[in-house]
Amino acid sequence: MIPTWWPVALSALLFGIGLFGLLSRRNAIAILMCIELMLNAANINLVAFSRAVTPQMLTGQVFAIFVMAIAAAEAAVGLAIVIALYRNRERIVVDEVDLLRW
Amino acid sequence: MNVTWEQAAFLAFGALTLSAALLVVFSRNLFHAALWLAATFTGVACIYVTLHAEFVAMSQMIVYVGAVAVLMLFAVFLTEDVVGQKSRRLRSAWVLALPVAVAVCAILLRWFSGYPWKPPVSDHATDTAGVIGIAFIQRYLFAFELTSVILLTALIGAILLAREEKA
Repeated sequence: MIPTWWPVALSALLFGIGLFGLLSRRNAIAILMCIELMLNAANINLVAFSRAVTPQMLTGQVFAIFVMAIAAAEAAVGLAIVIALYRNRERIVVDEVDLLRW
Repeated sequence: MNVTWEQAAFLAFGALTLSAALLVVFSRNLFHAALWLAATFTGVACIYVTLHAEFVAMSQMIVYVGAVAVLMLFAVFLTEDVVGQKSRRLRSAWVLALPVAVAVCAILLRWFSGYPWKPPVSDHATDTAGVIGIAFIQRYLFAFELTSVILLTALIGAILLAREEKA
């Protein structure tokens, strides 16, 4: 039996790695990858809680599936934006896309 | 301390997941980063199996490894010159990002370690696909239908955004 805090600690570490990448990577695709890492960390938590709190109804696992669907939609739209950006600017480095910056 | 097979598998897959995630963040070549992302997703799917969430693990393999990671690979192919990586991979602000990420991580771990977690129960549902399917068509029917609408909207939006404009 795996104690509940193991997956929770793993999820915190994965979230930290994703957060660091999100704040520090320059390439837009790499930033989207790091967002996926953070969403996965949230999903690990949901599955772990589902095992401890609602083991018969599996509410956490149902929510994990919902998060997965939203993450897939986010990845599709995000990558479409990146490709449109590349088509217009030839670069997808986020520091250089500062059209709306004051 | 006795470590059961289940716990040993969890620790091994957890280490695999974390190291693959670190490689996603730190690999210079974006193509390699996308492949390590697929490895991370696979590791998380194995974690789900050790947590007795078989249906979520299979969905993870199909949706993340099969769709999202491949989508990332396609985007890398379409935008970056994969061979010549001339640009820096990290922004200069990474010296600020590192303490922020470490602090968030430390705060989360500190809260989590102090919280009295409920131990996992042994009489969990074994037919996960059945239970989740019934939950989708009964209790969460509205959210389920709403999710399909969101997916359709995202599909149309992605096509509209990425379409080549012929004018």
